Amino acid sequence: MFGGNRMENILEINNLTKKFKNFKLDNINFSLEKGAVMGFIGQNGAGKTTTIKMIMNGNSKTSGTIKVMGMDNLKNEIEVKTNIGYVPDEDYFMCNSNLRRHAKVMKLFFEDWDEALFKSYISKWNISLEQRLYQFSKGTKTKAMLALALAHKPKLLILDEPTAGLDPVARIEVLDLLREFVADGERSVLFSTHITSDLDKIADYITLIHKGKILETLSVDKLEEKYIMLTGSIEELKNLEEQFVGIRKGDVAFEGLITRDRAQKYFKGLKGNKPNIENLLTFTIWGNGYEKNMENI
Amino acid sequence: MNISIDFNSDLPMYEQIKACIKENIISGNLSNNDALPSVRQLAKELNVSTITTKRAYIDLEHEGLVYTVSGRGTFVKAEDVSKLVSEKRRALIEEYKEKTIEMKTSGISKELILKIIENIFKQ
Repeated sequence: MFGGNRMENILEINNLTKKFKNFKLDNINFSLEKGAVMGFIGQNGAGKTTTIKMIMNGNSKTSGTIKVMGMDNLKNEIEVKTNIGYVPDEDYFMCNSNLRRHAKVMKLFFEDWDEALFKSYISKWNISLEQRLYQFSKGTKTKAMLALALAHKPKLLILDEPTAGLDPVARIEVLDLLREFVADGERSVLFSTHITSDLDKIADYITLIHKGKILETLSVDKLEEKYIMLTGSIEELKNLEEQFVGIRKGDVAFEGLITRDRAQKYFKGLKGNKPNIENLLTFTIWGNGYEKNMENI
Repeated sequence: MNISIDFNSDLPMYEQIKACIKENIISGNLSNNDALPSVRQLAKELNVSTITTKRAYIDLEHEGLVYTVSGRGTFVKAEDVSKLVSEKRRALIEEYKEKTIEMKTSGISKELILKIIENIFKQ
């Protein structure tokens, strides 16, 4: 956050730990302010879906707290769930049923259900209310889940890989919809995805999880302010690879993510590019072996 | 207002937006008290995140080039553009120096460089 303004957080995760047999979510800390979109990134098995399920209270935790709009997600379970719209990575539909029946059930659970809003998404995206759900494509299922999630007017939208099964046109439509969702400055989106180019277009913050630990959580303006991507020949590298957050070397050339301070100090004159979110993800993970380097940055 | 972003530049996007707005002020495209688009509108049109446009406006406000009226939006504050003009000139001179050094290194003679400059001024 810049300008020293303290903003209200819609989601706050503090010291969250969960031990499994072969995996541990290890002391997860991050927060999401009102009116913002956060991209939640990491490799398969890094802990994204586990973290999201803990927010949704589907998994019990070992220690730590999760607060949504200042409320503990266990103590105030009903209020918290009312305020979250959730689209999981795999659909929850009973495939012999149809969307009309699903919407009917949602109406019972959510006081704030807005039938007109639901219908507007359904007609906008041309989704059938009567067709059996097993006949839906992955993209249509995702849109249907989004319509159901948005219709109960949540304050926090949590999306697990929402754009993965969508064609490019539908992806842009969903991104525009997310922009609109946060436009009044009161609502936020937490968005897990592998399609980092989607995040380049809308994410205000990025949280990177790797092997159950948060490696980085920062705003995209800070990402671009703090880091630069450098490319050059192996001679130009001058054996200074430990200065990089992460680096990929070949026989003749290298490419690496480095702080702008260090680029200025050690590689003056070498041309760089502002980093995108994919650069942050891949090079931070590749560089994760250099533990001491990460701590110095 | 003309704003374009080069996604392959080394400059952060918020720096590019700042530079574009300054350029619009210098050229007279934006005048004192002109309204700027809202941060969300500009973000949508440029296909970047809102925090990027917000950061650009906040930096410009710190530099005294825009002001924000709560509930109404952000406006240009450019009573005196001389500072911007000299900032731009300094940047151009730096760029010129760098290019001249590059030309020198690649073996272009001083005479040729001077001749190019003279020809430009003759036009």
